[in-house]
Amino acid sequence: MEIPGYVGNILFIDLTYGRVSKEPLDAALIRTYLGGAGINNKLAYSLIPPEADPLSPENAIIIGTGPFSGTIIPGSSELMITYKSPLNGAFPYSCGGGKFAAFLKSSGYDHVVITGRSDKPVYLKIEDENIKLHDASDLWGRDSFETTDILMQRHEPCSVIPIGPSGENLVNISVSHIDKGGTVGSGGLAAVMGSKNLKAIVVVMGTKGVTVAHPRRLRKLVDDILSRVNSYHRRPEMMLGGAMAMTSGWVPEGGIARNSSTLIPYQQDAGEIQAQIYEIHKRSRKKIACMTCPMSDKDRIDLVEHGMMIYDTAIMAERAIMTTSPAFGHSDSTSPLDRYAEALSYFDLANRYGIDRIYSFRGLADFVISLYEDGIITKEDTGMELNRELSTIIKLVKITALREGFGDVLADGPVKAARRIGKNAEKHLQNVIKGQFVAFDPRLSALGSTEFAQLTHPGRCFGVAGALGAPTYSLGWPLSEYLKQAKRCGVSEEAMGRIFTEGSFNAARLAKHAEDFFCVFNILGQCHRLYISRFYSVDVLAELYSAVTGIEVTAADLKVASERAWNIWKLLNYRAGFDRKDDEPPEIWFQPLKGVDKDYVLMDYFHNTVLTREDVEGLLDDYYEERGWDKHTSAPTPTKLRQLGLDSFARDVES
Amino acid sequence: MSYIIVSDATKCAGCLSCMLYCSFKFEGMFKLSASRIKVKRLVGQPTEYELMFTPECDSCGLCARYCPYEALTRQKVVIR
Repeated sequence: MEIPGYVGNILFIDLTYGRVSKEPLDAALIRTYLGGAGINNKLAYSLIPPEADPLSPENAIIIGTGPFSGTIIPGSSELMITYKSPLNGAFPYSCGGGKFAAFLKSSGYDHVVITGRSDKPVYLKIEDENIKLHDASDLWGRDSFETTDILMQRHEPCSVIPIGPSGENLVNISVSHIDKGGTVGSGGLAAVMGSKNLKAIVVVMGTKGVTVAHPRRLRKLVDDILSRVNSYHRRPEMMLGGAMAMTSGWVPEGGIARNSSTLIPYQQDAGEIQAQIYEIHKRSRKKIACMTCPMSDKDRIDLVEHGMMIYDTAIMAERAIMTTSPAFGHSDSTSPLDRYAEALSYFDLANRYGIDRIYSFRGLADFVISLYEDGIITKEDTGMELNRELSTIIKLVKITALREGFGDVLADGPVKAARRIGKNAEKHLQNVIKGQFVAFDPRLSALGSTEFAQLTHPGRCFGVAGALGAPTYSLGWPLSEYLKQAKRCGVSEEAMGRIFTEGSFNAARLAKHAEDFFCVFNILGQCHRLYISRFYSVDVLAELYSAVTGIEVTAADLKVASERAWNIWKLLNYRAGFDRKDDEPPEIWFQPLKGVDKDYVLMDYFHNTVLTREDVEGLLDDYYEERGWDKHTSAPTPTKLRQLGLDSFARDVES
Repeated sequence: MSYIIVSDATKCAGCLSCMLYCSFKFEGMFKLSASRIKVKRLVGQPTEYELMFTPECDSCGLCARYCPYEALTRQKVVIR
């Protein structure tokens, strides 16, 4: 049966034999898992053996759109990609924007599953029924953006997911991009593509359409969302500055941690320089929007004075670090324009090589530089002098992407690199969860739901519990704001009673509900960035889903589907060996982070209480209880799985 | 009263909302290939666009109404 909102097909590509097949997207699959991450996870559970080597032909790349993809719903551009990560052996959480999801549906596919390994470099082109593996020997060795440019010229109108040299060289901290706009797959998706000899995936705008069940109802709902978008007080500034408008003169609290132990302060006039750079950014910026996005948070920056044209996104905190901190990428330049140009050069280089600079590389570089500064490793180990200068950082990016010399060690990612370095280096790797660096050190902010969710995310150290506590956006919120936000996220009255007690909130229990909220976006194909998700509640998403598909759902129904996706995510990772021990807080969280004027210690969100390991262990118990998972193992219980209608998964857990 | 759609491609951010709305009106579904407005990427430049209208375009203005970036506007034609 054809269900509006879906185009009804899963495309299977076996690279080993060059086989292509198509299967109908089963209506039962749709009704249970809805789409996006929900269907992706279900497919991954069936198709990727838990013990598979991530860089072997057994691993699969599963691409998922949602029922909102390809419609007019503002921000309906999110693509989900599921695979086993070579960085930590887990199943991470990879999403990205651009035009890929909408174009894939216009060619007639909701999901794509890529398995096997080609015996020579190829790129996959999807264009309606015309599915081809093209020779990519002329592209091999080219950087991510150059590859995108060439393929766009060949196949326009199209959307492209390429890999750069880091993917070809199987670098575990590699990342892919979509349309030169944003990144996707920071757990080493590029290396998985590289291991399959897959240089790029191209989807051409096809001839199919996405139908909707109730067009007028959808138009009315979208008109209402757009009127709220248009009256959003920060939108005019976002139109000028993009994502950077959120943090125009922002200098993060305290400084940059040197190997998670000591804070290196920003230079005195950092705030002023950031404000000047923001002005340069605004006048140099060309807006880039993902499909149907009214916020255009992505940038092309034309620094005319330096003859530069740079594509980048998510440069908020990094910009402050690269331009006003001696901790990473220091240079002797003094003018804000020059500093910004230098930072952009680094971003561009990392993007082109396909190095995940945000979640992995900066932490890893800081780690080895700290080891060098402390005399634990020397030039004999590294083959080069290590310091915090920009020129050194740039050299490290290159040798990592090309696996040259010491770069071959870094390319393995933090845990394996520390092992290879030896000399007790592992002991100095202090702020890592599931093989990834902690993104938000809770000692600097507080243990809100986002910081907590870094522990419990099934496959990576970077939660998605932002709506109810992203530290960059909501530090210092009063409790009343949290109560309001919880309602928007569809938290039941009963759960509210457990979360909000004694004038505060339980960050662990709240994290569970924030995850469920965000996962709704991830199963529908909807962007969950703050400046888009703020216009949606679960109720609105349920209305939209009903209008698009004709399947009438309530907010509670969507939350159940979201829980199904999250529980299967957990099972994928639990089956791959990730249990409670992998959710434990790093010991460094309970030691002071030394600042210039004060030490920072782990505290609750309202900074009333210093938290001990026992407190955080207690919060882990609370989290598992809220989820209906076993407190000792962290596995979803058969009872919980049956409650969600996942009986076959319950039987798997029992056996 | 006649109207025309005036385009300023320098303001286009490439969200393709116009194409989706246009196809929705004429085809009753979101079908990018059937849109009467075409947002074409300039060769070699993934963020510069050309905005073109097919002969079937009736200048209804739906694309302009839903352009979030003011790259399309609907203007009255004044005959002097």
